[in-house]
Amino acid sequence: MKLPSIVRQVHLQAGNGGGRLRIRSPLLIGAVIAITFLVGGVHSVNSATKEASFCVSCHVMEPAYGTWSHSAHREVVDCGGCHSDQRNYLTKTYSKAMAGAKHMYVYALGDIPPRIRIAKENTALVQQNCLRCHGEVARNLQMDADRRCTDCHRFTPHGNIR
Amino acid sequence: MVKQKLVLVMVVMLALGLLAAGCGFQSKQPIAFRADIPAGTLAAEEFGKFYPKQYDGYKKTAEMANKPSKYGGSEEYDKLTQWPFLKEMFAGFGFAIEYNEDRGHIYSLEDVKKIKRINDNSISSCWTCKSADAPGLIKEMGDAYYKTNFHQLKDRVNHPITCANCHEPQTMNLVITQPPLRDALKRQGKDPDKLTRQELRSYVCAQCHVEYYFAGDNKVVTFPWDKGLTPDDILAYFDEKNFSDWIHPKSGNGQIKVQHPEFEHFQGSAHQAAGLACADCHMPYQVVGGEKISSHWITSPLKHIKESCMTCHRQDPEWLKERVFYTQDKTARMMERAGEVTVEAINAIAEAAKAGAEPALLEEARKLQRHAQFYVDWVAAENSMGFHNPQLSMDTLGKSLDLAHQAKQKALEAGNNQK
Repeated sequence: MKLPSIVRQVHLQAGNGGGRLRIRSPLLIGAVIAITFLVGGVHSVNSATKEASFCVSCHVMEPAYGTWSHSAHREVVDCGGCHSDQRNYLTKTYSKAMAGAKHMYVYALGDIPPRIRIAKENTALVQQNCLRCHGEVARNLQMDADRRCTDCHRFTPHGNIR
Repeated sequence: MVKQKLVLVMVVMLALGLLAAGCGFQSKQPIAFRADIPAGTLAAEEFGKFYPKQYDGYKKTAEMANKPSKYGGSEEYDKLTQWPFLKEMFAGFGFAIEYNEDRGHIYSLEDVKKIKRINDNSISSCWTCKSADAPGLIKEMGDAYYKTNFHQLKDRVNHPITCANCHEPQTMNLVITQPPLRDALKRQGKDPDKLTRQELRSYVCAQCHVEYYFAGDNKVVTFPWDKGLTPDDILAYFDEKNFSDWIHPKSGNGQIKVQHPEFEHFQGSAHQAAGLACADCHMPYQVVGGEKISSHWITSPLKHIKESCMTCHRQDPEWLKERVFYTQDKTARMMERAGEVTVEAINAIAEAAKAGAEPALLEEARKLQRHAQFYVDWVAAENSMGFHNPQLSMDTLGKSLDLAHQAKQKALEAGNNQK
């Protein structure tokens, strides 16, 4: 099997030139390209999925979307602003990938609960995002680590629809 | 070789990525300290210099208004006029002399000094929940504090309930200062210094808003919690100790005066089971000057339904208030009926005794009446007219009514079996 021309060229040049950089393995070159595509791909997937309109492309998310789109939060955050880990690019990508994989699995199996509630392990993430914006106004509140803003503000922003 | 390295690099990258995602999770919230108030500071004014917003709220406890409350309130009106059965039940005891609706924390010292229940022989146990000075005095004097004459310590008691009753001045952390609660918790196997914030947001109130009695010769203020916190548990505790606050002159019956078991009564209620503390409704978060603080205007939540109820319950405030009254109206009606039959039982026992009834049967009637009175007084003394725990209120009143009828029946039976 012939290698793609660009790979062959780099390979041949590296082999003939005898310079300090000696890249001989087509596998390594392939991996570099794969990583480039992976990073680029992750970025474009991140972009494609960042709007709330993507989340509501599954019908089961309509109540969540509809309530949010009638809330004050609509003006400042999309779904991901509260439901993904916003600390940095890596954590955001990781939390989106994990949630996406889980949603896809549940959706494919058709085992969608009649009332969609946030998973308990994800409440800490949302809490972190509440404080990302509202931390200043709440700086004088001492709360146990397991207490959440949403323990009381239970209709923010998704209304009374569960 | 290269392939192995590549795999290694990718594994390391993945591991680092996972590590970055999982580590450094900050769930602790920022807290703004403003002061390092010296340990032992008791005066609210001193705390107020550094925490003016909270102090403003505390000072509002001086405001007196019954409305919009229907049954409680913070004006000093006569409960014996409001509920005539109480005067009959408490005959021969201080509570039949003067028994008023309580006012705000800021008045605690003023009110304990003027109430007619205090006489020349009153003891210092009565200062315990009225002043921030009490914990220090108990530390200094030990158990001897409690039976010291009330008037002897008058000059040593200078502050009402203040910030210092619940806050550690240097950190403003919540702290349990009252020895009776510390002791009760230790007997339950709990460390009073290792409670969570949310537990403390109720336990600081439970320093006083509980049932208690004066135990032993030293008259030590003691919480009867060793069997549990339900009315049944606490009655069983008193029965086992054969404890009575006084002998009712008409029935000749040893009675218990229930104090104000708000904390105990709240246990098991829908709101408590949902994880709420006293402070969540009575000290709701409010935004003052661009930051959220706990309201320190400790009063009926009906006075600030928007902050207290509507954060969770998005209904109309008038509707919410009517729901509270729905519970309270029914509790009040049932309480009055249970109280009346309890008084009828007292009268039946008195008449049977006068007629020379069979003593064993009469004792049975007395025991039933003592229990009926304890249960109705539990609801009457608890400050919420049932709302802190509607189901427990009705359960308790049901027991009272049943026992009161049984007591009447037994007294009639005793009267018919004269010696």
